[in-house]
Amino acid sequence: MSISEQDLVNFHESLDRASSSGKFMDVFYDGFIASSIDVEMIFKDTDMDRLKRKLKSSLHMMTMLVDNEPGTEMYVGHLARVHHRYNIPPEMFNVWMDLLIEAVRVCDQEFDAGTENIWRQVIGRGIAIMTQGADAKVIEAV
Amino acid sequence: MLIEWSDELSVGIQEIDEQHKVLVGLVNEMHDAIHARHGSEVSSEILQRLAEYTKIHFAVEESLFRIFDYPGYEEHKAQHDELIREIIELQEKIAAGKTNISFQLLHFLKMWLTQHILDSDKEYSPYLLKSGLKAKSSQAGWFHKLWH
Repeated sequence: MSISEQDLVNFHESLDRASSSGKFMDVFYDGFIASSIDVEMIFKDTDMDRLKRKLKSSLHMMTMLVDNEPGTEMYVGHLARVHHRYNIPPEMFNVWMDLLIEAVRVCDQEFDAGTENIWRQVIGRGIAIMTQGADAKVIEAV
Repeated sequence: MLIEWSDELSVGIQEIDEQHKVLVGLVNEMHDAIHARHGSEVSSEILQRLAEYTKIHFAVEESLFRIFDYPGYEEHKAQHDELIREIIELQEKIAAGKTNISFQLLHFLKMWLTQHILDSDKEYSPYLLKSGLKAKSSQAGWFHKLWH
């Protein structure tokens, strides 16, 4: 399913509103780290500033993916395989997306069903690749 | 030019920056060769040099990680190992005539290199510098002498 330009504008506006709340990333990581012992163990020694930088980078990559920026699909596939090397279970990516959207719900005052649908479309495309893990398409000509 | 070197890409360690500049230069060289339609042999030869240089660069970084007992060693090495594995696989496919070097690949390499420097390499440099690694050397490193 393609994502319209207007949906992308709406996505960025929602992200701006959520980020402006000043608590978006904290709400997300509080929820994500508390979601399971496995997640807590992965992040137990990681500093919060680093995690926030990673989240920004991930969101940037997801938007590049729906913008069909050249090379991005290969790159996200590469990230999927790297995370597979870290033994990250595929289902953890879906939890990541659900709790990210939950954080948007808390921090974006204009959040509604339409906003959620747009977030699921944008983030879902990247998550679909990440959950393929070692089976994500390798780098090659397309 | 596909990638322009800027201070933003500097990790603050002269020798590592010089190595990264060579990698940036090789990606740009491949970009120019594809634009100039120099043919797949030329692009493959550049890819070969890029693969060789990347392996040496990764070995240097990983040596520093071990010497200074960098806590992010395993995670960082996994990123290196996966890229090398994928490049080798790609080269085998090219050699077998199953694929070609494409703009998608070129942009993947650009993205990998810049994101890896910005997201991962910049994380180790403060640790290494704090542990005693010199930011600058008055002499050209062995790596530089070996390659040029």
